[in-house]
Amino acid sequence: MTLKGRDIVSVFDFSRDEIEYLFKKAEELNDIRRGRTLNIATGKLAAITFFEPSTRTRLSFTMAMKRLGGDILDFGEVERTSIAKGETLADTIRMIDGYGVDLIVLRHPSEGASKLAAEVAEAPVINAGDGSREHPTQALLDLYTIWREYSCIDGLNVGVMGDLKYGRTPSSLSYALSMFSNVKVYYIAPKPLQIREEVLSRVKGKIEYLKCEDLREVIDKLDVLYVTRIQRERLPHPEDYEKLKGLYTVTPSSLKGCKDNLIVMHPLPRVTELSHEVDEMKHARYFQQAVNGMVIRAALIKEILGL
Amino acid sequence: MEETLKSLNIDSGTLIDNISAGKGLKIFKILNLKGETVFLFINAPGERFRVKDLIAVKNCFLGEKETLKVALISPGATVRRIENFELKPERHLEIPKHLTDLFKCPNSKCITNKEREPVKPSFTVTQREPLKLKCDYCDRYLSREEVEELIVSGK
Repeated sequence: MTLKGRDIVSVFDFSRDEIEYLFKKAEELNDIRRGRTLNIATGKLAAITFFEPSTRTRLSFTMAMKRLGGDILDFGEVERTSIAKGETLADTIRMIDGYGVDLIVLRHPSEGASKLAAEVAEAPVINAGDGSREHPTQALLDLYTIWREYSCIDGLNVGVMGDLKYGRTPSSLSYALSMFSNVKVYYIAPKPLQIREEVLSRVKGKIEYLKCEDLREVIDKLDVLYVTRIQRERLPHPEDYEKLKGLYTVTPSSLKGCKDNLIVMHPLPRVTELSHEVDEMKHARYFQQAVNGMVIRAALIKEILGL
Repeated sequence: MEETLKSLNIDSGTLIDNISAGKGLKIFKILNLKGETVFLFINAPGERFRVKDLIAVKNCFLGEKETLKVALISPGATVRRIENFELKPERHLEIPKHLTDLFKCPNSKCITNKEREPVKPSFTVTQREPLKLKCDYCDRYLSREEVEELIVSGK
């Protein structure tokens, strides 16, 4: 099995076998988790090209490359680059690619930006989020976190809650889950922020799913609760935010009646949708999830670079 | 039909036949036939008591893009060349698996709508009946009705 030179634009650029192979490869990199640097990517350079603010994903890719012993070329904030002067994405990517980097990690607000970048660059491109479309490595780290907990993905009941319409993590996670068997997904969201039909049409027949508006209706069925943030400005009537905020906030009391081994996940950053009291509960996995992100990205980079 | 062409004095040109009733005017508009002699037949008698629209254009032949647009608006339409008042064999319009640079993606956040970005809008046919397309860049799905609207509005 080889991922060498592969562009990762979508979750669908992986097969189920490749995803599980990456999980095993990530486990071999557990020294990274303990803060060790491996010298297997010495002399390799990854370009970190982020056209949107990001903390976790940017740091996670940077740390993954550095822990592998490689280096990064980060072009910094967009405001301080030629993009602010109106340079196109294609030109920026061609220029960076021309420097001979080994990998390009791209985050961009336009949907499909990573596909365009992959078309113009010789070096492999990893999509680190493009608009509301996809965030494939987020899905990979989400599945990896679930897999580390349950040793499998098949047969699990996963609740995805919050802004499912505009968030890119719910779509990528749904696509990734659709590669496994007998997975049931509960989409828990207010109607205006429910999962997009185009996402459902791609997973139809592959996962069983149910849309609902109240976590309490399904909490006892879930093995995984994946929480995302609802943003006031996304709602058709922003004044509804205060009312919805309570309904879509996870607290110890909203987890009453849950399975003993339920895990609560969140792509972070969180605001008010996940109370700090949950941090102390045995169900919380979001900080481990963030660390898993660095390890699985290191495994992915290692495989794409053929190391 | 040849007799009709003679009476209309169309010795050379194109006949678009079997247009779904009601779609003729839309096709006339998208073909942008300025200065050409055009005959548009609306609700003409067709097969099995059905009605259809037809367009006959003098001294004008459709390019690949125009032909595809006709097929997308009225999938059952046929295109025939007219030479010396004679109709050449019927050409059934087939929609290929991939469509490039025919209309814009309706998703304003799609990279293909980014100003000056050197990328053409392109779509893949994911379902033929009823027609469904998917943007190759942003994954947005389009129904045949949406495609028709995009073509007619010139977007």
